[in-house]
Amino acid sequence: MRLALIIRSMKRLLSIFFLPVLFGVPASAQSGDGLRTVDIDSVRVTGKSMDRAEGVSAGVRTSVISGEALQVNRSRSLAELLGGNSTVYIKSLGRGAASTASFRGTAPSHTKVTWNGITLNPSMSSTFDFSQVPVFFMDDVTLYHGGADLRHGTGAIGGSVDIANRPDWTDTTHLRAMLEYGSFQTYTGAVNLRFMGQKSLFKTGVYHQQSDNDYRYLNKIFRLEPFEERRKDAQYNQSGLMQEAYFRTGDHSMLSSGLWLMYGRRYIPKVIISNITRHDIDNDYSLKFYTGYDHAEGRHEFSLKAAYLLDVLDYEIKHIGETWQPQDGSFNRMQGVQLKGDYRYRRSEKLSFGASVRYARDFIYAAGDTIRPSLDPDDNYRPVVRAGRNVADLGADIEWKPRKRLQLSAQAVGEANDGDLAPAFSTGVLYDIFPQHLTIKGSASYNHKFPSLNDIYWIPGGNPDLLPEKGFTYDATLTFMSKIGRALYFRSEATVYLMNVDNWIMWLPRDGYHESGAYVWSPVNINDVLSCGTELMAEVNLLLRDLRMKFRANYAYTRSENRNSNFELDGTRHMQLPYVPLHQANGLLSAEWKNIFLNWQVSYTGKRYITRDESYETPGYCIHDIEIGYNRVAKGGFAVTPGIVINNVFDEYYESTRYYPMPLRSISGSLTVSF
Amino acid sequence: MIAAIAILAVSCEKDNGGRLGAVTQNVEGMTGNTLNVAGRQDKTVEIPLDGITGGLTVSVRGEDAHWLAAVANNAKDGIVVTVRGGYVGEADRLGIITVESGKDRIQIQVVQKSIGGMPQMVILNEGQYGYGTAELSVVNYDGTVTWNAFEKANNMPLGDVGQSITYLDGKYFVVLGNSNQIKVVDPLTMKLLGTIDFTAPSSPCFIVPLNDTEAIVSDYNQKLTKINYKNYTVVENIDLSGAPSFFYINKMTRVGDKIFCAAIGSDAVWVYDCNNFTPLSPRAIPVEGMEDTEKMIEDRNGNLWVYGSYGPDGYPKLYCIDTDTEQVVYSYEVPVVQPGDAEKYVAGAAVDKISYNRMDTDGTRGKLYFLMKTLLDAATDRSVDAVYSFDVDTHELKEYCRLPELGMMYGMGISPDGGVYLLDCLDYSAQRGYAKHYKPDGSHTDLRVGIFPSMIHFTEYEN
Repeated sequence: MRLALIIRSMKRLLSIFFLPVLFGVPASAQSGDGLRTVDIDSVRVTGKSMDRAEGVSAGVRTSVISGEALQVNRSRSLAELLGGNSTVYIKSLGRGAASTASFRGTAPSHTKVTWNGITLNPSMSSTFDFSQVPVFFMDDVTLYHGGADLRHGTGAIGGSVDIANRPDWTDTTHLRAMLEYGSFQTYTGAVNLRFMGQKSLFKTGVYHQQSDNDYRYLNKIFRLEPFEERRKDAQYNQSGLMQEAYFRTGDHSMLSSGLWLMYGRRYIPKVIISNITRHDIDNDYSLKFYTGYDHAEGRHEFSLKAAYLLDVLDYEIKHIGETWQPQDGSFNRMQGVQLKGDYRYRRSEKLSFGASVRYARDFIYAAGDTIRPSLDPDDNYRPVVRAGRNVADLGADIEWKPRKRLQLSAQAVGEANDGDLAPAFSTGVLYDIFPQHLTIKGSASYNHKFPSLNDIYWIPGGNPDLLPEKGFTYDATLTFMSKIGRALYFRSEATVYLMNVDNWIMWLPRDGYHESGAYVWSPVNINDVLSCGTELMAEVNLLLRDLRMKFRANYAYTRSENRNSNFELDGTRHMQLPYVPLHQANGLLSAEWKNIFLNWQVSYTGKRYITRDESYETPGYCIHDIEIGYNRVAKGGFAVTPGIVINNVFDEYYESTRYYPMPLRSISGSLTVSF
Repeated sequence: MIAAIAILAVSCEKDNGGRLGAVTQNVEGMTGNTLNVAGRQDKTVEIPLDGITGGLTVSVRGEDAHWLAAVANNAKDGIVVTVRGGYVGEADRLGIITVESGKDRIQIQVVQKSIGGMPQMVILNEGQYGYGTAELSVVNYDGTVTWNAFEKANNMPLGDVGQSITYLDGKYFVVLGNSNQIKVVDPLTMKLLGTIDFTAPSSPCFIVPLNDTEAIVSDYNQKLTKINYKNYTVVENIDLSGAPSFFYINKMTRVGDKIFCAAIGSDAVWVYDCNNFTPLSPRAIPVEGMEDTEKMIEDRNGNLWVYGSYGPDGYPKLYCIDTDTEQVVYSYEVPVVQPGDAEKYVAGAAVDKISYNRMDTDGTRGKLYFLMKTLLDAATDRSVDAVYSFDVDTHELKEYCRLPELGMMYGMGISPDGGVYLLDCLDYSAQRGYAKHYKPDGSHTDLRVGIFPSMIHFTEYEN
């Protein structure tokens, strides 16, 4: 009784603070494809990994990160989540440090990232840093493998990652708070507040994590005798606020809005084959805001969305010691505005058409703080880049079910990028060989990616003559699922794919005169890449009385190589691209017995070459993480969940990036409260 | 590093009434009747022959015996044998010297051992920044290459960003810029002997000895570091922010008791006295367009040659500095033909400099070698990189060797005998590069080495 009173009071109090903050619209609706959710008695198994958004090829391979995985990784970054639960390859300098993701042997810049339909890739480099996204803020994470996702324009040559928040009108939780303390003085605190009226819903998330991140490891490469040392320059802190608001404006329409603020200050770890004589510090500030309107009535659906994005990177360098202190660093600011409209006409259950229009304006400001004294006081090296870009695209798609078991789809996009025109398309087919048991699907797509603003405008060396990177993707996926008895459900997928990416961009020294007599670095279209491989997934769900178990495993074989020689002695032809593992696998076992739950996550990454001619490599590794917890639900819906996570259970030394060690065994304890 | 080995053995057969006479055996390297010779240098040996008097007739026969010569030394009743050094064949080779005098006849067997398996040069590969792929490649005379020689000997990587290798005090001092460290390496075994760690803000580059125990290390930060190369310690970090009119010192050369420095941000060569080292008050020798990345070369006359530039396009200009008076005593503007000069703009003309030049000399120190572009076809303006030589005495400039199929020059070394070695990092895209040995006709032998090969050390200079 007293608890209920407290809750009501808090709701009222918090409403005063957060109700006026924002108003907005629902996230884009997702629809299933030929494989629907399956209910097997009391085990409800979602065929989520087959879900795809409308406008995406029916044949595309889609994987949805499970709720269990989101739970296990709730105090970690999106990079860590994807690294352990998908076949996306994550390259990281360490926890809290820059982490990139790549699909199927393509470059990190070929991975498109969206949040509720808004493209997040930074306009300067195109490469998204997945370490800056707390999993705690995410409701859904969906991966589209290959280049078939054209909903947000071009660019997703390798694949795309959809981060989504959704209004769950059935959820009655008001507050969810988490505190966690772990090894290396790692503190995490997160709160999620939720207020719901008859026609409105507000969600507020606050997150903070900080860590000294000074883990111990055995350094075997800097001295003749291996020695133990602590990781230096890896400390970080990260704070974020996410505010969502949803208003049902009628039976068929909704306004939604989202604001996402992040701040991070992190030291950049150094390669451990070096004496550290300076600190590099990255200060990141970002603001993401969108508002939109969705309407669905009868055969018509349309949505409008507008967004503003701001990213600021303030890079500072502090030198150690008393001698001369050079002034180094840089300041980068990126701003973007995005407007988009989507329309869908459902002529019948068998046939629907979609159309979209999108406009984006990006603007960057970059300034180097490096000052080099010289005889000429005006000769200080302080490059400033101011550049912008307009991108507009028109898209159309069709989905057709000529037969009950057969789906066909086609999408096309025409993009105008500062006056340069480029098309992209995808086609897909899905056929239920044995409905609810065996399905085959396939897609063919063509996508391209325009050079980033750095590629074009960077001073010195920007190359306005660069061609877009482009490529075809062909893939086929066979899905098998079966219910075995009353308690067991099994599902598996096997995908083969073939991709080529032409005009691959690399920054190389160019033979142009520079005042220092050195070469000028400049991006060039140098490679044509062929990537082929297979992706396997298996999932088992089991329910036995009080015991629920779920096991999901992924495996990827990726062969990604340079197809051509640029000159006679070129040693890179037919060589595996750097940091593309040939083999990668992971698995997550989740078990729940009464109130006790256990998650065991295993991830294996094979050796990776670090140079283009396979002359140097970094070894593979296999890491185990375990979480165990207890979920106590009291009367009134008040729940307390203590838990312990042990990362790298077997204390294995490993490196995601060569000579950047990752933490050995670590432990953290958490307490989550919700009501 | 490689001591020339000469073991001489003489067998004699003296027809003196059926008696075999003795020959002098106390000749260096002579053992029994077998003579073994090995080494890079030509070897000349005097062999006295006991019991033979009068006029001698000497003949030589053997496998391709042009490498072996012998003449009579009647004044000393013996012969003089000359063996051409640098034999790199797979097997030992044999020659026979026959000496006759009247009825006396002596045969001397000469066996030359191959030096093919001996190191000719050590190549420092810079490696990719932040990847720890700096390495040493050892190239033997027979063209075989040992990759990652340091890592193989020590089971640990060399470091990050190899800046320079210096032979000092009988050891290699390898400067690793991004590791902020100097590794001291045994030339014979490639074993690590010690490290010099920089804990102050540093980006060390090159080393020059200051005295019998200390050396100066240049730095891409505005500082110098004094090290003790006997006990591998940093003696002093020297802040140069108060120094006059230059940013940092790059290349350095010691001539006599002076250190000459090339510094970025100044049109001058800066001079320090080794016996009175005053870091903040060097003396300046004005040099127009001074290139701090070019090696400064002491020629056989004791003068210092530095690489500068002239004109709006920065064409090469060579300056000769008298190291005693610290004055420029001669300068030479390398003539560059412009397309508008139809008479001279013909194939074979020097038409441009290259972006990233290197200058070196050979064992005689009588010539300077640097790179230019030579015109191939006036109609199409097509040109090729070429090494030009400049005689320090006659001041004659000529094209020395063309460099076709050169990707991206990242270093150059001229061997003691004038061989041209270009270090080609190809397209600088993080793959193993090549040491290309160019012949005068432009043909070349390519040796695959490490990533971004940048500097060559010829072992012959260790003698």
